Amino acid sequence: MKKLVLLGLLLVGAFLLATQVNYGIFADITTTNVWNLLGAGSTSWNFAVQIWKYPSILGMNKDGMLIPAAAAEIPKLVKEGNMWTVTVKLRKDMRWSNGAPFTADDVVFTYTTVKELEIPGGNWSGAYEPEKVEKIDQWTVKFYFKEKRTIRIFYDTLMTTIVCSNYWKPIVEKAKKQKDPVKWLLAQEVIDPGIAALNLGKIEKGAFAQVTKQVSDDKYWAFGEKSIYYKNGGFAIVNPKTGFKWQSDNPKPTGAVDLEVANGPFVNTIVYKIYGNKQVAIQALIAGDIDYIYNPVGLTAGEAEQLRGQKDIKVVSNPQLGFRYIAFNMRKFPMSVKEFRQAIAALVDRDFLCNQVLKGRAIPLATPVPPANTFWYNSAVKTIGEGLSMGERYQLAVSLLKKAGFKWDVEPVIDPKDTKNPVKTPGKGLRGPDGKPVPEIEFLSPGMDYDPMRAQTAMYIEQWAKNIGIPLKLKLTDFNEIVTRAFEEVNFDMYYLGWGIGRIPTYFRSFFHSAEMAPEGNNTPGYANPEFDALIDEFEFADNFEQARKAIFEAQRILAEDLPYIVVFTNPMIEAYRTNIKFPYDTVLGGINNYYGFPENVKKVQ
Amino acid sequence: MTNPVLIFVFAGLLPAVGVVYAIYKGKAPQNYIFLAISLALYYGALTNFRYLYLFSPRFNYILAPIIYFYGFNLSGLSKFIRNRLAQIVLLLVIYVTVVFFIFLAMPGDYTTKFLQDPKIRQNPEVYERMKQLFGVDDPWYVKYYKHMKNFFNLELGISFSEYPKRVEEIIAERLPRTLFLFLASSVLSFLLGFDLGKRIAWKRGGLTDKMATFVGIVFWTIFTPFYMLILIWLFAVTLRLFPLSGFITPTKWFDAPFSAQAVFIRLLLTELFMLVMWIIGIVVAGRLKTIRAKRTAIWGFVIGGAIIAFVYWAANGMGTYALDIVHHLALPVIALVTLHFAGDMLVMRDTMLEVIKEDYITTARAKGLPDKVIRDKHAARTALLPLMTSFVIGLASTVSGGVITETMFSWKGMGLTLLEATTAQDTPLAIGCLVFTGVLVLLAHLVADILYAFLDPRIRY
Repeated sequence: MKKLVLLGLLLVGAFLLATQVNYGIFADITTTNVWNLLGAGSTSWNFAVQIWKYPSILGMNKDGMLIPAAAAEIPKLVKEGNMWTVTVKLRKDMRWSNGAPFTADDVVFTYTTVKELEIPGGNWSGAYEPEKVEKIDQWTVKFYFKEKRTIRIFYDTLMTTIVCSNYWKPIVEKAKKQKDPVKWLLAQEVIDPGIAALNLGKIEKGAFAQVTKQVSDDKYWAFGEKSIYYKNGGFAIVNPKTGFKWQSDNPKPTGAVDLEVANGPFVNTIVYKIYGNKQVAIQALIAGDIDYIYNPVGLTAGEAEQLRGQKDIKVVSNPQLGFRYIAFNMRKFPMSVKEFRQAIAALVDRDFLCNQVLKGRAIPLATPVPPANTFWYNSAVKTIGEGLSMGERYQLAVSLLKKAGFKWDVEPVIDPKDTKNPVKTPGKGLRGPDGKPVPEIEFLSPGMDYDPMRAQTAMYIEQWAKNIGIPLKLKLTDFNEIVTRAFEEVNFDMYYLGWGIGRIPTYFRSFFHSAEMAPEGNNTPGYANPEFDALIDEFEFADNFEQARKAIFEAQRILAEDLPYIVVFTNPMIEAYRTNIKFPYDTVLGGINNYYGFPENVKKVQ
Repeated sequence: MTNPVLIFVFAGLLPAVGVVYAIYKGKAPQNYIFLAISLALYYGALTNFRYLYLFSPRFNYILAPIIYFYGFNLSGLSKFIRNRLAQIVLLLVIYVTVVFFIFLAMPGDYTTKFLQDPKIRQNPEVYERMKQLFGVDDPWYVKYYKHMKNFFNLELGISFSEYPKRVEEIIAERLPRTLFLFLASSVLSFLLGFDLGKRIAWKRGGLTDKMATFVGIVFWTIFTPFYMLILIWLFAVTLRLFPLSGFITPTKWFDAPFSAQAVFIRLLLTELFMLVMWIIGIVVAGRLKTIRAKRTAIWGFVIGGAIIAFVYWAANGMGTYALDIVHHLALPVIALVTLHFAGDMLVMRDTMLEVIKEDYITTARAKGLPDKVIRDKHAARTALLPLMTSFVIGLASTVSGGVITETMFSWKGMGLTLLEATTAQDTPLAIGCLVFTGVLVLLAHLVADILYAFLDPRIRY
């Protein structure tokens, strides 16, 4: 009898331990080669299944704070002769999944291989930045840079993926002997060691990719490591197993703990099942075939509605790293007039658009930095007309146009007290300060089929402008036409598009710096403000992050006034998962998918 | 080629036999010209003499035999096949060129998407390297040269989206899945359509005719993705009779010592074996007198084939894995058969209605032959011709898969591959898929023409 009970207990134990979670994805894994993965093979799906297994020197926590990953502390950028150097002290407790210790050799090997072989790929671009990467000792590496590009160094170069030199060195040496070393190297489909306990297992093309636990909990250096978020904004890393500790300086963690995340893995297997269609994946989620749908574009509002109320399914909505904006062509009249742009901005009632027109399916934005990106977001920036009623907005727009010298054949009459119909007499025949009629302004927006949110809100904006005599003509058109006219031909008046962005506002340069004019760059409005340019340079070359932050705060303020873009809204990232799994947190900027579904933290609720 | 025996056979014996035979058969001056051209092409390829081939020596091995057969006078079916093969080669060159220029006309290229990456924008040299890697910065004529060279070399290039995988590898990976699914569904819907079509035409105007026509038209015109979603919801989510999507159950395959691909290929061969057994059964039945004997012969071969297949799968250790795939196959096959049988049924019905008005059917009735014999032996055989053509050509186009079916059932085959390659501007892969399908469709036309001659004794080429 005792034997039977023991056997039963063992079976139950084995069942509990052999935990598996299933994620739904929408495309195959096209490569398992890290050199390719971060280059031509950098698809969301490839990343979801494997990118998290590689270390980098620095990382970011969920609040966007710069934290050490493979480094023991945040290094400093210092001037040495005519070079800028960063000396990185590495953690001594990290081990690759093949048992090799993580050392300075791995770091030096990765950076030098990328540069020496000229491995292509945007995600490797950070590795091209240092002039030299030098091993000081087993756990110290020194980087040499020509320029003090602080932000790029810390948020790109030092966040570059590092590979296991112990595994890759012989392969790279063999590659160097080939006729085309890069092509040969990229063609090696291997599953290399990671720094995590989970690693790729079986891959059946077109069906699934399996990720399994390959290092036992007792041998895994990060098992049980805690990431502690304090209510005062402080952050700490504590590894009870190895004794490693780190805490933020600004602010220092004190007081109550807001969130504590323990590292696992808590499951033995993650199966990424491949679906050809989102509706079928939703059915699979309902049926319990999968526990979570991983999708970088999330679910639509309709799909979320379909899942809300379903038994054992939780739908979560998070702010997204992106924004929809209206761009002005500042090379042309009247968009070249600041007050004109401000007048249009005054008419764009974001709260009304998001809450009434879009029924709460969008989040109003004031700056190109989403509020959830707390470190970089300037909450003091107010949009023109914020808090005003529609009538007051009309009044403000009219006064701004008048201030710039615009006149009307029939001036609009506004009654701000009449909340329902404040425009008593619509404006007609708007004339510029030179007395000439303002030409018709073409407003390009994607149509209802491509993006109903933009199409709907664009119709309101057109009507509001027309009410005060601005000859705005909305053209709902093909997305490609807008992109071609804005980015290639630079032949437009106003357009309505969106951007997906990163957490660090390095995109400010790309979108608004005068050196980045379209068509070569992405500055489609033709915005050129020396004060703004100087702030962007200051941000990129800052001595410290506080200085960079201040520069970006000020840049946000200037943008809200100069308005090359009217940043309108962002739509939330809606995701769904079954309640039989538990993520360490599900309210986070960019959503759960931004963390690839937390492979090392997800738990199965028994 | 360094082996002296091979050199003797391929450089001496084979051409010598060919020349003797051609001289014996063809006497006209143009025959000798064709013979000389074919020999030049053949030896050009054999010796790798670059002035004697256009892009690649491999293509000469295809051209040389076709031109050789112009070296003497052929007649009838063999002349028709030779001429069709020459047409196919010409058509293929035109087709491959047209496909290339259609893709060239598309705005942007595969690397354009990397321009959206600000990190790449910051490092223009990285972007340049990306363009070099994919060869997208070449001028159009260089791209065209490379494309044609690849084609004549019987190579399809390297996929961009699955870089650095060869297009042939990707097609070889996806094709068995598509063929297995669509071959099964095409044969089943053909059989169902043929059988129902002949029956309802024979009893035209009756309740069965009206019902079958109505049901057939409903399925024929239904919105496919919606219908497939209903099937998934009903059979997979609610009744849980079949798997929801995909072609395997992951947990069953974790420890499989082989890939699903290996099982697919064997399953496909089994499917073809069963098809061959069935055809042999029909051929044998054609030589028998009574309906009962015919039926026994057909079923005998089919059941015999099934037993052999069962023994094979029971012995090879892959049986349970094959069953898993077959279980996943059920729902998409149900969907495809119900959607497509109506097309075959209605074609068969209409042709039968025409055929049964023919004099020889009236004669057969007057002779007092049983109804079933007239229907199956006299009317249905003639009415089968257009259906057979559409079946053979349809079968060839199944290699392109069904985008909707493969998407809805997450059955990653050729259709989904073509769609993804086109939207991602993975030109080599998209062109590869199209060229591959094109070749098979052209060959299927040839097969259909040849089949016509066998099925209809009146047709002579």
